[in-house]
Amino acid sequence: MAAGPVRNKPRIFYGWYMVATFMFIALVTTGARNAFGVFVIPMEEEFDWNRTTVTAAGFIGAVVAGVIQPFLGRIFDATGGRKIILVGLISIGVTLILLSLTFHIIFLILMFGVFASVAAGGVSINNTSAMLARWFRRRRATVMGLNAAGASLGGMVIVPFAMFLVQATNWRLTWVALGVLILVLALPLAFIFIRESPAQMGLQTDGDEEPSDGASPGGSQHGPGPLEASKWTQPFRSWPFWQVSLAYMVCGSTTFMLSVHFVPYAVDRGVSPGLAATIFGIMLGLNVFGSLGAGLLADRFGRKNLLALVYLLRGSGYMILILPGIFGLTLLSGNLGLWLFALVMGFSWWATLPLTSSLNADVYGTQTLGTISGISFAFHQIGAAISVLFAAVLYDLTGSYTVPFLIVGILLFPAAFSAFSVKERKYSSRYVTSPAVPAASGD
Amino acid sequence: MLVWIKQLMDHVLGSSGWVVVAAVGLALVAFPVGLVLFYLSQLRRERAENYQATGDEQ
Repeated sequence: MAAGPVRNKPRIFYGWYMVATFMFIALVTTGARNAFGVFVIPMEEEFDWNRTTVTAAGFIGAVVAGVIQPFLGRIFDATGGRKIILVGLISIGVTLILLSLTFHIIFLILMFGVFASVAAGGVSINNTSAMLARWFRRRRATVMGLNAAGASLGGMVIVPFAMFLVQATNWRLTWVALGVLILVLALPLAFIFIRESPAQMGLQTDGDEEPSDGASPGGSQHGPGPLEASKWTQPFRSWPFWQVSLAYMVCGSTTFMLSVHFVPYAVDRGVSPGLAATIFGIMLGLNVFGSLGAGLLADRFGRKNLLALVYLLRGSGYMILILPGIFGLTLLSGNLGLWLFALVMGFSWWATLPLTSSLNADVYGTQTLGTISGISFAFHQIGAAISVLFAAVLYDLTGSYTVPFLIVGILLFPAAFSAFSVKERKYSSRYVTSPAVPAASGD
Repeated sequence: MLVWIKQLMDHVLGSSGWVVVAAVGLALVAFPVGLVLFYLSQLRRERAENYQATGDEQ
């Protein structure tokens, strides 16, 4: 048989262009949605709305994003992903531009709370991470960490951008600018670079020259794991899904609650609003390092132990925050306790995302990963929504945040145990490839 | 927090919001444009190398 023309291996694996594209998409879409707070005051002033009315759109948006994600994940799995990402980008861009026409609170709730949330669900990190899982195995957690870091950076870059643009122009023009940013920059980039799988381009996963079979310690194997799911319902009958998703629900409750209640809590402790916001801002900034570090370490040392460690550290952070006040330890009940908490929380905030997503991908494979990740994310959002209301109600009842913060902090320890007890070496395709155990019987 | 970010940036930059808007806007445009240009340059180099390798073989 005659040899074909010589074709050198590409210097840079095409998957890295996908990673860069998804980072940019996460940056602009997450950033644009996180910038909602910038619009609250100018819209309140123009329409004479109260704070609760305007923030209802944000709350509804968070709930819709969680509820819709499993359905969008199902469409993602069925269509391959590229189409839903392109349609999602067009929809979110157009919706943001239409927000400039806001004239009534119902319009705002429908546009931002419903349409923008559904559109953003199409380009969510769950979906883009599920697509990256097809391109990478050995560096799966690393690329998912990079993807999450893009979203973290979005808040740091787009929010100040929107804030200064509102001040320099007006809120209507700023909505248009954010929409145009997505349509003119992110959409063409997605159109050019997104490919559904390496096979579509004649490439192998991770840019390998030949497909490899069989497991080898250290995580460089190819092939399905024992719980590989061909139907999205299969993971419900196995333990790892519940161990990871229930822990993820605690994750949602411990992060989203802080987004809403941390600054008021710090002010209640006697910190000035400016310093409270500074501590919170630094906490958010540390997210980037947390997600990147978690991804890199998980590819080297495995996922579940690191995930358990993250929950354990976060739980310890909550204890540092709350217990000194209860036991009268003056040193940690002041600003030092807040700073220590910010440090621990900042590194662990987004670190769970690449760990959870890569663990799901390793255990259940990529065929239905969009749906599975979407359902895990729905658990996360359920925890988030419950915790925000729970903290508000308990604050009204007790006059402080001590009880709700203590409860969610304690919950992090069983979450850590839940993650730790996942039998990664038995079920992850990083360690085993033989489909010896049917999906329905996983323990 | 937004007020704090603004105060910090005003302190660092000491100028109007347009500077921040222009700087961030430029960075946002530069990323996708840079990525496409880099990809095209790599593609061109790979094609040239493949062409050379095919020629050497013949």
